[in-house]
Amino acid sequence: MKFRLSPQTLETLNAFLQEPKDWKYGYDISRNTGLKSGTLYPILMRLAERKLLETSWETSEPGKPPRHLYRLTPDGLRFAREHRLVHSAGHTGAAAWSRG
Amino acid sequence: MSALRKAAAKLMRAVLRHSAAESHDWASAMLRELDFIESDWAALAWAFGGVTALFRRSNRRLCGLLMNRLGHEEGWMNDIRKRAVGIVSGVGIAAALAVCVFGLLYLASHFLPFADPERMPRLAWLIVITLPEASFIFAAIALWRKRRSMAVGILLSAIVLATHFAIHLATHGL
Repeated sequence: MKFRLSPQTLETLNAFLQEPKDWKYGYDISRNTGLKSGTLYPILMRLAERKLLETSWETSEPGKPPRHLYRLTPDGLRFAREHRLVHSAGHTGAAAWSRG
Repeated sequence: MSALRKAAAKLMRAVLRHSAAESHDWASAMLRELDFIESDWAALAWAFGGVTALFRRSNRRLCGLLMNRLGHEEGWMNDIRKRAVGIVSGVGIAAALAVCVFGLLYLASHFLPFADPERMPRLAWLIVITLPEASFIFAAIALWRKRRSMAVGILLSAIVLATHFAIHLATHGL
């Protein structure tokens, strides 16, 4: 499976790497990365489809709708760390990754 | 709630209502985040972004389905093409076999006096029809497992030859 790593995807992965164990809200990721929802959510969807991102619904007070939470899976963390190194080593952000 | 925020929420709710089952969670997630965006304009921009994200997702899925279907159709066309080539080659092989058999018979009639068709027309006819038909059937049996379409081509030729012979018999006699 090919996965195109755009600079925006790398930015998103880096945001997750700051506190890798913590669950994050979509709007917080958007603020941290400066990505608009139209760019951020397709990235999150693709990461989740490839099992690099896990999602969860926050258990909130009764009567209030829950918020969606995101966190990298162990595979996602490994992938993000590998590609953060590649990125910081000066490679372009359009690297391709093959899985399986 | 300002008019802008109301419009943003309305837009996201409309998207949520019309989104596909697999995008429902994502649409709900984006709608819920609206409540945490401080600026009304930013909320509206967030809603438009959400529409774009879901549109891109459904578009990607549609393209995926379309490509899959095209791939299947291409595979089916390739299969048909292979079969057609197999049958045509089978007919070609049958024609080559027939030429060889008739050539041998022609040579035999020249060099072996007892094989002269003028002397024994019934026997000659029997040989003319039996030898090619037998060779066709043997070739078809040999090829049936590995090259079925080629074997079908050879069998078709056998049927055409037999039919031709039957029509000839019916109209001209031996």
